[in-house]
Formats: sequence, C-alpha cells, structure tokens
Amino acid sequence: MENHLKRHREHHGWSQGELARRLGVSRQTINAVETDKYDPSLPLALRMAKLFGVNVPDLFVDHWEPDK
Amino acid sequence: MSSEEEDAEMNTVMMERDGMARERGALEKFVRGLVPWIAIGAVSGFLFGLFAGWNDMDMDPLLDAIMAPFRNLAFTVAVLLVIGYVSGGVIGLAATRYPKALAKTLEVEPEDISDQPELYRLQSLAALAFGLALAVLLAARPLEWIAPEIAFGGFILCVVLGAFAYIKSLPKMDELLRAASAEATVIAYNLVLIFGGGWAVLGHLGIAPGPSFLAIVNILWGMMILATIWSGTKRGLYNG
Repeated sequence: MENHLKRHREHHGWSQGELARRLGVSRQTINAVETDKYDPSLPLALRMAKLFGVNVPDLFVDHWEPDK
Repeated sequence: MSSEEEDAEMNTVMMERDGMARERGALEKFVRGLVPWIAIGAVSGFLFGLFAGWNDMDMDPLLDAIMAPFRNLAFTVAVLLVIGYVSGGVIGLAATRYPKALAKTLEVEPEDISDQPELYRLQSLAALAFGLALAVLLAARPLEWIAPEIAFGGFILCVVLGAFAYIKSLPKMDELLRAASAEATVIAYNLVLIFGGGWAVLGHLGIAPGPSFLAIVNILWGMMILATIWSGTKRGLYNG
C-alpha cells in the first residue's frame, strides 16, 4: 500500500530507529513499511497517524473507490 | 544545521567508530587465539601425511571410512543443514556481543541487533539447538558414534531446548517479525507438501525410490530454514 511515512518521518527529522523507538517497534518494521514490503496493523497505523498529528488516510493511500 | 547539532552529530559518529574499533579489536584477539590451534592441526596433519607416505601406508581404507557416509546424499544434505543451523546460531549469538562487527554477516543493521539483543540471543539459541538435534541423529546413524537410544534422548533434549528458546522469544517479537514468522510457517508447510508429498507419491508409484527416514527429517528441517529466508527477504528483514 502506498504510504507517506518516510516523508512525514523526514519532516520531523527522525531516523528510522528514532521513529521505531517512539512507536515501540523495530527499525526493520519502519523500513518494511516505508519500502512497501509490509502493511502495518490497524493499531500501528493509528499510532503512526497520532504521532504525526495527521489522519490515517494522510499517511496511507488506498486508491480503491466503491462502485456507484 | 546549527554548530551544536553538527557537534552532536560528530560526537555520535566518533562514538560509533570507537565502538566498531573496540569490537574489531576483540574479534581480532579471538581470531588470533585460534591461529596456534590451526597451526598445530596443519603441522600434525602434514607430519602424519609424511609418516604415512614414508611407511607406504595404505590410506584407502581410512579414506573410505571417512568418505563412506558422504556417499549417502541424505547424509550430505543433513551435514549441510547442521552447518547452516549451527553456524547461524553461533554467528547470531556472537553478533549480540559484537553487533557492529557481525551485522553485515547477518545482512542486518547493527542497531537491529543492539536494540533487541535478547530476541537475537533466544532465536540464535533455538537455531543452534535445532542444528545440534540433527547432528545428534547423524552421530547415531550413519556414523554409529553413539547408541540410537542415547541419540533419541539427545535429540528430544535439543528440540525441547530449541522450542523453549523460540517460545521465549515470541513476546519479544514485534508485529513484523510475528507476521514474517507466521508466513514462514505457511510457506514451509506448502514446501513440505510439494517436495515431501511429491517425493512420497513418486516412491509409492514406484517411479522413483521413496525418501529415506533421514531424507524426511531433512525436508522438515530444510524447508523451515528455506521458508524463513524466503519470508524474511520478502518482508525486507535482511539488508534493509
């Protein structure tokens, strides 16, 4: 899933390790999300959004649209 | 960047370099300690070869005795698996002590190890125990160094120890590792179905010789390690 995690992280001047520490996960998890190799769980996505002060759809982009 | 921030960054870089140099020194000391033993082995091997040559000793029976088990393909594969599990476990354990020096060998970043040493320690211990379990089986058959009953006891002990270490590591995994671990289990199950099941079907139909008992153990051990690497690579756990 396309995401803007790296942009938000860099905007705050945090390394992957620093963001991982703040979220209570490993640096590898942050790297896997940023490189689109892993979609985080809903609780982690909510925590990421809360940490950056944005909404989840501002961080994770889903291009799906419902049928009209 | 302000001068204070530049200083702080410079300090961090210098501290990292110091840490790397310290670890490299400790590792070099360890390797230097091994050199005399390797030299003794090389010299005594050379002298034995010289002695055997001078006395016209027939080395064929000795070489046959050493090489005979390797003519069995299942044994050779099992030895490779033992080497894979044991070296992975030993390097993993050493990496918790020397993360900067050994992170590259494990294809991870040094802070991935230093941030979660207990996790690496337990998982490396599990790999080591599972490797030793397989080694104990080989020591009984085909090597016949120990009795099968003793090997069975040793095997159970190693597997229980490995499972205990792995279970103890579970709460220390974050969600990515848990997802990768679950995925590895599913991949391993499918690989066992394809390779183990497929081979057994061919054996049952008489198209090819069926798998030996050791080959079945190899499939279980081998597919698990293969699935772990597969899943870890897919999830960017290595070289990230």
